[in-house]
Amino acid sequence: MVPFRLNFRNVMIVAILAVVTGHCLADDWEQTKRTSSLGIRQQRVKRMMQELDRKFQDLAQKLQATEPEQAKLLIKAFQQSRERLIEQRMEEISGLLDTANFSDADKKQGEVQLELDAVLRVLLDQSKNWDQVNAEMEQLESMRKAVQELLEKQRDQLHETDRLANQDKTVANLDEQIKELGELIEAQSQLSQKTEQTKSNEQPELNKLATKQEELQQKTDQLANSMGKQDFESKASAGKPSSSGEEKCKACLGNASKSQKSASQKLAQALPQDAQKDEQKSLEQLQKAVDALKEERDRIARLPKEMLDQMAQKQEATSEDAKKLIDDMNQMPENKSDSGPKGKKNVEQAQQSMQQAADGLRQSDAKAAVKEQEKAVDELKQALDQIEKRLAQLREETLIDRLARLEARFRSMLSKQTEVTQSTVSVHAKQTVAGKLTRGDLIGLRKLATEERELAEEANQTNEMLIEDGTSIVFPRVVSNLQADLVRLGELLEDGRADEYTQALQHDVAVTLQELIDALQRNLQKKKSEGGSGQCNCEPPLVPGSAELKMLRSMQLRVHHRTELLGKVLESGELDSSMKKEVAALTEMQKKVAEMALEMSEKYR
Amino acid sequence: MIRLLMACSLWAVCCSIFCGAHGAEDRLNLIREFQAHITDNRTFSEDQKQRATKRLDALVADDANSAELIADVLVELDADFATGFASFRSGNFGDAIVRLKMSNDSDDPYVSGESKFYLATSYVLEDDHESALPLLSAANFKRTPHTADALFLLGICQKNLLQRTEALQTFTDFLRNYPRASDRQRNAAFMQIEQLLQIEAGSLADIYQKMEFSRRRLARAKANEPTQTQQKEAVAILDQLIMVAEEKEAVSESESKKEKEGDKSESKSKGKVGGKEGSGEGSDDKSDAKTVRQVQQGIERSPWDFMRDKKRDAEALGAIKEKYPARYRALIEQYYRSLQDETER
Repeated sequence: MVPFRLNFRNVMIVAILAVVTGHCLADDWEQTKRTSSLGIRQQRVKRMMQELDRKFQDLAQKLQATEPEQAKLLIKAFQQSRERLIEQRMEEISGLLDTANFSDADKKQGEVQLELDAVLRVLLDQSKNWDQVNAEMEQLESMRKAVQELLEKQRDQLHETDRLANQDKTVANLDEQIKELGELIEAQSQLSQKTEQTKSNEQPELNKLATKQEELQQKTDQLANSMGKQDFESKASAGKPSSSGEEKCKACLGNASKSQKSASQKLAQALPQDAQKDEQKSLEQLQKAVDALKEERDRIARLPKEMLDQMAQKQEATSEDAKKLIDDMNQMPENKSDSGPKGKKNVEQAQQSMQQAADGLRQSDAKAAVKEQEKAVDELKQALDQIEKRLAQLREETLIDRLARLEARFRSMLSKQTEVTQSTVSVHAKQTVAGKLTRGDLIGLRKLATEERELAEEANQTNEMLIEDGTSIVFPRVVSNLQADLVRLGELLEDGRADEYTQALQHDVAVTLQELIDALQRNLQKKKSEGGSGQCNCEPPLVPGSAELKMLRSMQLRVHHRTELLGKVLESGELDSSMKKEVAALTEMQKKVAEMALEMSEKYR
Repeated sequence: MIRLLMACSLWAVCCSIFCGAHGAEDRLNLIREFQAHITDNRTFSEDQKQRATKRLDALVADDANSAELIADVLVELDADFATGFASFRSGNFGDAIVRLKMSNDSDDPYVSGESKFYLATSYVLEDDHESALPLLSAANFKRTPHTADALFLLGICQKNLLQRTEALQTFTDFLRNYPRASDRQRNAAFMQIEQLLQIEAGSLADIYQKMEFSRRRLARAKANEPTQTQQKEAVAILDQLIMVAEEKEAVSESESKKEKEGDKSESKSKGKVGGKEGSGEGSDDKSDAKTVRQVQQGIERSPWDFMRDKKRDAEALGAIKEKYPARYRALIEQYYRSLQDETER
């Protein structure tokens, strides 16, 4: 999709440039009266245009199946080219040039240039597209959130209905869990007493206690994991605690497990006093857990059959929420490749099931209601899945666009930097021969300094884009360093310094830019080959982890090379003020690289 | 600012050790011996002796547990130590280093011991762990209330000089030898052990340690071989991490392609998408995170998982040998052996 767009952009730019060049040349050549060659050039541009038109048609045909949007854009551009009579006008210009009618030719060339610009705009109708994409993403995000909320609500209702439908079984299961928890508390209490009686030099005994403590921790974990699994017949409701009481119990068990683990480790470390403190903490948490579970058991046991009416009301309210969501979905612009907004059909199905579940509850048929509620949960999950897939696809598409824009930016910066470096080298060569800088050289260097400052500003803007993107740790810092180097280069050139030091820094800047381009290009190619249809439920990273590591490596390598140089200098004598500056700069650089490593380590932990 | 705060918190941990770490009897013995030393010492003038005794009595009456008790009295007896200690107290650690070096080799064991302790602490707070390390031998602090503090600082130095096995042993010794230290101090030691065990050889955390080592040395204009070696090692580890990350990315890429193909054929045959529980599996971001996480082998495990003393359990050691990279394995084995020796003693 995008490669095609860029290729065409380039071709179009070549065509436009050819016209513009012809235009400018016309001015020059008017004076020399060499009309025939200009006519030939114009004919060549016309042939290029014809070639382009043919390519438009060929490509449009080829892209029709896979990328209908782009094919449509091409056909539109081709039609515009025809409508604007670009070829005919070029023919006219050619004739005018042949007859030395430069004034009219010049005028018409200007007009054709404007027409070409218009065609180019049709081809590059990106801003509008990306606005639409962003709008669609925003809407999908809000849909996702709404469906998620609805799903949560529906799940809760399913749990509650399920429990009421199987009230006796649920209470029996909770009784069983309370009993297990009681046994666990007893065992933990005994272990704590033994720990208190054991001295730190009784390592074998402490090891036994540690093993016992580990076993108790495993039992605690098992009990926590079994919460919400045993007492439900419904598969959709399994695995999630159904009430705040059970959630509280699970949280307490989690805390108890942590303390037990810590106690076990300290026992193994022959630190019984520290271990006992942890054991006491775990006992407190286990007691809280059993209290919460008892409370929950009593609540379930007391649930009256009349509760079904209340549940029906709740279910109807959820059904109303689903209706509202469907209305909101209807407000969304329809996805062209689909019959409606993503997931809408599933939400409609879910809403119907919710209504039937409410009817079931009204008729005191809890088991039938559970079945309908399960259906509703399944449909909502499918809706969520569809929305997330579309979101992932759009995110990948925007990522490709971001990568392309960044790469183009860095490429342009590199090209400018290369020119500035070449000019710096040539000024320095002149200085070496003459032994000093002329006034002209100094003016030239100041111009170069301005260009470096402009590049620094560009780096700054790019860095803002990277920070806003927020998915990369290393890239923003690399660009920030790059900006600092460019500012420094501006200062050096302003001071009339075109020497090896300045050139080395310029070389560093160019190398960094090339590294950035390479990293972006690799990911861009990868993403394009994947076809821009990721399955990511989050903002996809600008570059993969390996690219981040590579940038980190090259920065560390740079620090190392400078350290080697510094080491040699330090071997030969004392630190002068300039070397002190270098030491400080190098330390700062190492600090930044280390911070990046730490941040990456934390991010990927 | 952050460094100053870190220095303060480190110092706070050290300062509070004496009161809890040492028994009341040890403390009284130390004070009695010091009192006798003042009285019997012929190099001190009578006036100095009087002032020192008076000060000691006042300090004991005020707070006999103070870690700075002896140092506060020595201020009356040794001018070099007095200026060095004043610089230390005012947070001017660079100046304290210069001045305390002068009293460091004093013939008076109390002056020498206190000078060595505050000199070593100043070095640590100035990030110069290499200079602090040789000063922190336990023998230097027999006649001071700083044996526990010095052991803790020794662990810090070893950790920052990348001597991880030694640091691990030192913090373990601290926990064993000073069971009466406060919760805060013991937690600090536990935390250090936890951090040390989290630094898996060949991980990004390991790289960070090496880079930090390099930074500290560069800050002191030391760009020679040890600095360069650690920098080179950091680059070499990064090379490894990049290689593994690229391999994992290639695998996850081909897996996601297969998944996509599977999805397409599934949706064709079913005409309906089957929803997963929750959302967002197989994401690129997650797979990237997973990749680097996998590269950082073992980091997700709790460090305490390796702390069990299974000294006679050959199977457990065998499992460790299989599970962890050579360098880390060596660290763990050495740690277990040290625990074993300790118990057998």
